Amino acid sequence: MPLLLFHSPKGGVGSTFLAAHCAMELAARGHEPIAIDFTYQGSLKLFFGLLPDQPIVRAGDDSEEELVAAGVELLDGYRLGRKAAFLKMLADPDASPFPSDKLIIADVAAADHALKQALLPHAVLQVCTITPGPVALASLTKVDPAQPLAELQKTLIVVNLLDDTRTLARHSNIFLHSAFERLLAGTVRQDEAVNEAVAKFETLERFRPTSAALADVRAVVTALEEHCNLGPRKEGEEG
Amino acid sequence: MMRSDAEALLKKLGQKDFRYQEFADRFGDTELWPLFEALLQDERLVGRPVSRIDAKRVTRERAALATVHPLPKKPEASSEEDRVTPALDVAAGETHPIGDGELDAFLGRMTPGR
Repeated sequence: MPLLLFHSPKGGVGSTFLAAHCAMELAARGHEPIAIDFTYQGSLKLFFGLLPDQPIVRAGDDSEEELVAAGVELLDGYRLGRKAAFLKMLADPDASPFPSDKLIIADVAAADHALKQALLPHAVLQVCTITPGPVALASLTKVDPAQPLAELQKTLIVVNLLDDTRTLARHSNIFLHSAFERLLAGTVRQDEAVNEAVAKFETLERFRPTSAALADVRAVVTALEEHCNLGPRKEGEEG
Repeated sequence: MMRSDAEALLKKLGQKDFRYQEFADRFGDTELWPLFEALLQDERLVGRPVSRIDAKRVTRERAALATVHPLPKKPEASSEEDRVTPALDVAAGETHPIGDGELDAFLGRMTPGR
């Protein structure tokens, strides 16, 4: 099963939010995702309704009992992402350190470009989140240092936090969808319910099932499934 | 289609007298912000731009091709929305960079910025 790599060259655009909710939606569709939080701040778990002091099983540590929330197994990958042995394994594109029968969602911090580059050869897709603002747009020049954005074959862009009452935000969204249509997986509208759910230690699905952002994430996940040939899984289906 | 959260709120309030309309911008109505133009000319986004001479050659070749194999005439647009030119697909299918002619065409469909 594939590795979906969530990384954006720009921080603060909601990449972790998107990784968490894509994982939950994929779980709801019958996949069995493992979400690995490679970030220092470890905020992925908050979107699963967990408390900030909730310990998360360290990736690679078999001694602890697995933690599954909203159908997603959660792992803390921060230390793993700094282990020389792990990075050495990633350097060999034929030796994936990930189980082949699992769908892996990796959340990598914007600043952790080296880890992103190490994981990328093992990923079936990089999901690059950006906000519809000028600074985030300009950061698209940094998605891949070696290849122009328009030529990337396994990258999809998601526009997040669209405030459709703002002119420049709307225009930026239209510009992106027009100029880089092939790369756009969708747009997620700004929705305060996302923050409110985190503050109440609830999942967005439970807190506000009618959330506009949640509906948008579902559309994004459909695009990801199509891009990665991940057909919706039926109950009881193996592998 | 109504936003799901707006629909839920109106239902909760028992309000049925509202008309819901989203005012989406058409591509042709968007402003040409200088940033957009700069990004469309940035090699890190669109690849190496072709030279003006190459762009002219490509334009001539396309014109010649269009003469030999004219495109079927499209039916008249039935509404304002139908007349919106499809967006330029910089990347779809082809990975060659955007040329000067294409860039001009793309930018030409956006209104001048402030």
